[in-house]
Amino acid sequence: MTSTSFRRMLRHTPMRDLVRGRVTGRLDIERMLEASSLSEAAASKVRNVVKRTRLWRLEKVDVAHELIAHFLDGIETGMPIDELIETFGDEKQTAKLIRRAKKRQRPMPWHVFAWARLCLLTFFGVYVLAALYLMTGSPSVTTDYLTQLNKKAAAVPAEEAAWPLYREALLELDLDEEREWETPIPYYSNLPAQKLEEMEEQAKQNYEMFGGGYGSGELYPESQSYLDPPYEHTRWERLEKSLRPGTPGWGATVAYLNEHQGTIELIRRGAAKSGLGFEVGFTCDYSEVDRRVMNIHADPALLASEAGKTYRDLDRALIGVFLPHLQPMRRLAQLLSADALRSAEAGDGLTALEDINAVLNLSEQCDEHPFLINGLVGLSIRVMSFRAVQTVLIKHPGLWSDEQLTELTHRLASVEVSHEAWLNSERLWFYDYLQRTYTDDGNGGGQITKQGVQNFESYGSGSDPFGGPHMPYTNAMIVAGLPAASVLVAPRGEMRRIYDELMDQAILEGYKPLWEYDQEALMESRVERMAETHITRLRYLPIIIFMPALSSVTKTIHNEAGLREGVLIGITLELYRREHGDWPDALSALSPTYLPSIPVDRLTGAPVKYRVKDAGPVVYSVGVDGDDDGGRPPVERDGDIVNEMASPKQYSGESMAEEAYDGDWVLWPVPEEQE
Amino acid sequence: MKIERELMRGAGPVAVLKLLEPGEKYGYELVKALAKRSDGVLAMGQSTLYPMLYNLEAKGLIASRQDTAENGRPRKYYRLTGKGKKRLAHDTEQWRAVTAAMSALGITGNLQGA
Repeated sequence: MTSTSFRRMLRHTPMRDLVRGRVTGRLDIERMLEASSLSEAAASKVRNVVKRTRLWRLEKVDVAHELIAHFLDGIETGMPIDELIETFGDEKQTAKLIRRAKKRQRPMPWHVFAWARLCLLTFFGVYVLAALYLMTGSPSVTTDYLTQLNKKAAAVPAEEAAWPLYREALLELDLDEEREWETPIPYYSNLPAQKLEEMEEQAKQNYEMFGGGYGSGELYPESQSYLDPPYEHTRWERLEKSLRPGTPGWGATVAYLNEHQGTIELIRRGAAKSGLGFEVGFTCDYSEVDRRVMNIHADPALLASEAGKTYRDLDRALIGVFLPHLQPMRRLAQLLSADALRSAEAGDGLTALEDINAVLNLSEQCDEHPFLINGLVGLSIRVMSFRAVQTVLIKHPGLWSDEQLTELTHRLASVEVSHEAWLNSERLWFYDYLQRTYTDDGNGGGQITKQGVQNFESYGSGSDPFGGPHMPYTNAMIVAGLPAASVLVAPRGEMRRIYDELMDQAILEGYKPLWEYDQEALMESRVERMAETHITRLRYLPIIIFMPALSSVTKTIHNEAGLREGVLIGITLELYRREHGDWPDALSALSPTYLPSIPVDRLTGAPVKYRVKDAGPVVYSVGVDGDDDGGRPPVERDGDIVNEMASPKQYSGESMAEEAYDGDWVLWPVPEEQE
Repeated sequence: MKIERELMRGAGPVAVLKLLEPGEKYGYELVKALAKRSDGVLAMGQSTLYPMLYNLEAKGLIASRQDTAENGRPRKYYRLTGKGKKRLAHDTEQWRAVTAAMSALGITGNLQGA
């Protein structure tokens, strides 16, 4: 045996023979044909058919054996070879039929694999086609919700707009001016200078480590404040810690307020205007002066750069709308409240009352855009006025006349809160999200788009879709994910229907007294259940992400309403005392002369509790734990007072939360520690 | 006479099963027997027979074995399986019913009287 023929035999020996140590060469069809002594024409027929079958090698050998035997049997019976070839049939057809039949004989695992492969390829083909089809869809932005929401602000006549006055005041105050303070925050005043330097250095390191944040970090390089630095860095940081009498820097605050009385008057004039006249927009729309006034730290160089261009293009969705006026308005309200206390200390009751009325007006101006966040900021501003009234009444009980107090009760009672308007405006930016995510079939339906998946991916991963260019691989990934997303994510119609259902429910819940709440049936509990399974979490992810935390909103609304009722009772108690010389035995004595009716406990529906303690009246709700603790607010282990109303998630009429605070929710006088 | 492909597709397998009923046969033997016993009507070449045999084998109606013939050459012999026997009985009954129906219609049977 030559080495060549051995190599050939080796090449044509099945593995199973080799494993057994045998070099059989039994897969060599050419050798079989040579050995058969068939004519070249017949051999060629066999060779061609076998080759065309494209079967496994052992199967080919089997077929070759059979066909060779057939020809030889025919020759043996005397049949001319030409006739045998003639009757053989079409080579191609024969090969095809043999291949098909032989494959049927293959083992079951092969069939399973073949089917799986076919299914997979079919699925892949359909998937690719679906991706190509879905790629062609694009969202069509047909409704300008921002213009709708700006309508009220745009309609405010220039002479009736408060914002220009506030803007002027803010420019004068320059609250965000960077300052180098010689003394540390009073809280740290006892620490040695070296320790303070170390803390300052640590705060800077923390900033470098955590600065930036998601996406927007690049555009807001200065937005991260130092973590717990021992020195303030701006005028406001120092001022805001000393806005109440008794705080270490109160004297400096009084001096500052006295110095800026012209500016404070400007703010009061603004608050007296019928409208705010501030049209909201996007970060890049604001001028440099406006950015300074509203403490917007967007880097102008970055905004003008390529990244900034992407940002400007993307930052047009309602969800990216910027409300930079709210923080300055809150600061102005804080300054007005402080000025009310300054005026009270100075015995100027009229200015104190004007300041408080200005705070109330300012809180209502926040509602010019009925966004939920505006509403909540408005509520927090209003609570500042309650606190100021309480401080004045307790520390300077004779400052205001009966008429002034009565006027104040009327002003406080006239406040209206519409959670329905807020929630309805929340709908608009979800609708805006939908129109920027899905196609529009004209009937409220539509398929998710490439842009939609991009938004979806961004929100799902927690990054800001409008915060800058995406990773370079994202485009291909998004296209690849389109068909899956179109199946897994709820289509436009369904998404909007479910969202609307939940919002409708939330609005109804907002009108319900808290003691009728059923925790399990709350809208928020439904949304939480959606998030519990992978399928529904993915299907309704935008709803889960964007649905406001209603229990927190409801709590804030009821908290403000409860405190407002508390301050109303507080004022009328003072009026009663002035007239009768002492506090009443029961709150019922106030109605109807001083109050049309006595407010009920927002947690139980029973009348609010009242008692005289340490020669002063205390008005309270029984609190989350549901029992009367004599007007004592809950105290946490670390000694902090937690005088707050229960969240509807913690409380329902039938069962109190196990972790409920032990204590009452004090409405008058509100403990100092409550922020 | 050349039989239409569709008709052959129905008749061919049962004819092969019938030929295997008495005992095992090899491929060429079946070709010859089919041509002879059907007067050439059911004659089929390799292109039809071998795929048909592989199909019947895949369905478990026939089985094969490799053996060495008297002339010393390797040959593959096919035989009917139990399942094949049942199928043959069933198909025979079917064909008889068809033939009877055809006969009643004057298509098969004694055509002299037609």
